[in-house]
Amino acid sequence: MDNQEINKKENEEAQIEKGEAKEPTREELVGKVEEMISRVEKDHNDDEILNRLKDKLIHLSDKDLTLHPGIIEEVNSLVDEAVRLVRKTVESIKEEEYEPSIDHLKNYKQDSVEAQHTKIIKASEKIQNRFNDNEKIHLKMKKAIALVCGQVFNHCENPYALIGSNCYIPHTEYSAKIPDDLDVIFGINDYDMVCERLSKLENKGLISELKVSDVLNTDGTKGDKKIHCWITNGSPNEDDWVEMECFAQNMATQRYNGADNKSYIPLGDEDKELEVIEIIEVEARDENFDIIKNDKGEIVYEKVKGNIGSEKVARELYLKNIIKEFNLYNKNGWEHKAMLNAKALQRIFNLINMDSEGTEESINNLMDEIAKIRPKTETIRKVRDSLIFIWNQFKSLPVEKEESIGRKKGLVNWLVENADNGEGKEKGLNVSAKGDSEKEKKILSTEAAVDFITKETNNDLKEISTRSEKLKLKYESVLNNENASKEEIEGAIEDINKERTLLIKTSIKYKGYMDMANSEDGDDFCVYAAMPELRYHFILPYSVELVANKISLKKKLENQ
Amino acid sequence: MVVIKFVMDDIKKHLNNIKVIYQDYLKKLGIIRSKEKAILSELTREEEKRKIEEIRNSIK
Repeated sequence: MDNQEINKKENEEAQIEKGEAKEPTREELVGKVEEMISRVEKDHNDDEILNRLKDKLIHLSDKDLTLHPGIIEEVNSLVDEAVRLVRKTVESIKEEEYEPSIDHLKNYKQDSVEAQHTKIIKASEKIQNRFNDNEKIHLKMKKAIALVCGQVFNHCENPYALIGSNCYIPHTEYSAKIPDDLDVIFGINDYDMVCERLSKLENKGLISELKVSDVLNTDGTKGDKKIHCWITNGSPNEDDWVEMECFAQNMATQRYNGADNKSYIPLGDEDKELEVIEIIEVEARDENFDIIKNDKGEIVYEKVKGNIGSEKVARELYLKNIIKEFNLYNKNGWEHKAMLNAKALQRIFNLINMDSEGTEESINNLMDEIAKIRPKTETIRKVRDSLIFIWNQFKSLPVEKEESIGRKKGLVNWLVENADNGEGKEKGLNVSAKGDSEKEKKILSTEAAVDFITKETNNDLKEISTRSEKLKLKYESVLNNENASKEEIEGAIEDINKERTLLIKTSIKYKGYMDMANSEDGDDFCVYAAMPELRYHFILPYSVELVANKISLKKKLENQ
Repeated sequence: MVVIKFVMDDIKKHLNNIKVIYQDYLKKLGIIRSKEKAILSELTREEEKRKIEEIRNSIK
């Protein structure tokens, strides 16, 4: 080491001591990964004890081996264990060496404040392989993603990301779900460019029914701009089409300039991580969206890349949707009946089913995650309290009646065998696990049960809402009609009685499901969670309203 | 080039994760080695016992 090098090193050490060390660079990270991998391998290869042990085993006589039955197998198993440990450690260390990936973003403004908030990295092999699986994400979906990413969103100056099921599926090990639509978020700065390119694609017949609208916030103010269309890829067959919804959001620049509302997933406004996936190889197109051919007249193909949200982004979306949906129930769900969404159950399940979760602890994590959401609002606190209340209620479900049969069967298991799919249809749910893994069967069963109950609660929400509108019209017309006859009033009372009978029947059905839940099985909670809300904040207030209406009609009848 | 704080903080996080992964590896490797050591000690002890026995027999 010459004097110059010594000085440099001393200087660096002095800086570290003073706490002024420069920020680490990616190159240093790459270097560290290489260093640590070779250190792990060296630690493993320098196993002096194992070498001596192997030497001893070679020289053991048959007599010695009889004295130590299974010793060779035991040592081999330790060797295997160490090899597995090294492999896993090397993989884990490699995963820490993320690869920034923005070469597919033609006009991306790397120096923008939006880019400072967004880490765009190459997706891991695991995520890419799941995306590649045509059974998980169908070919027509990949072609649709490739078209809009390649021809539109990869031209954005600000970050964009695929969210929703196309982001969820690559982040889960087991799921029977197949994405059937496409959701994208991008910056409002890119809105004009996106609209222009989508319009050109529509003119070329590659997309259809392009519509633009404003999204209304829950307080009635204008939120993001929404674009809706069908990606046809030129096919006249509607079965090949994929629905797309994309949302142009305010990002950091707009917020600095006074925009006060944050977007649902504040991409380009808060720190977010995106993963770049290779979508599929498709025909390359020129600026007019015409297919490019080479000198020989052959079609030129190109591999298209696209951004998907990281697991954290996917979790954020589900968490916020749960908050929105539970909040509507809590704010007297019956009064918000038009906005209630039965998908809360699916979202709870999705959160628990993502890579970083999978145990019962995840339900507690869910409460913690909700508590951590910023800014802390009264709504978030209430939703958290309400979920904790339901969780505690679930954990304290009575256990007396299961004594005779031992462990309770559980709601998921019961639904898998007995779910009523409607008249004439076979009972039970179709759960087809590919492997023999118990974990896979359990997850797919829970997913199917959650989907079944979501469908059922959704139908009940809709049916009750529709019936209530009709009944309300009839009730008001009879009540406000000074000349209403006795028969008309009695008829309206009878209709209310019939409606109450239907409501009681629905309530009893859900009570039956709730009683079947096994408080020792966290997966049952995913199916159970929205039922108390539906009974107490939707059916019950409506029943109370009906009783009040009935009393009014009876009074009218008495006064006749 | 703008200093991308989020990304730099992230590099620190990754460097720290590597440290944690390596510590965990050393701990687990230590357990495997202690098992190997126990087997080796037992074999060595018996070998020594046998040698002593052989010496005793040869003296006899």
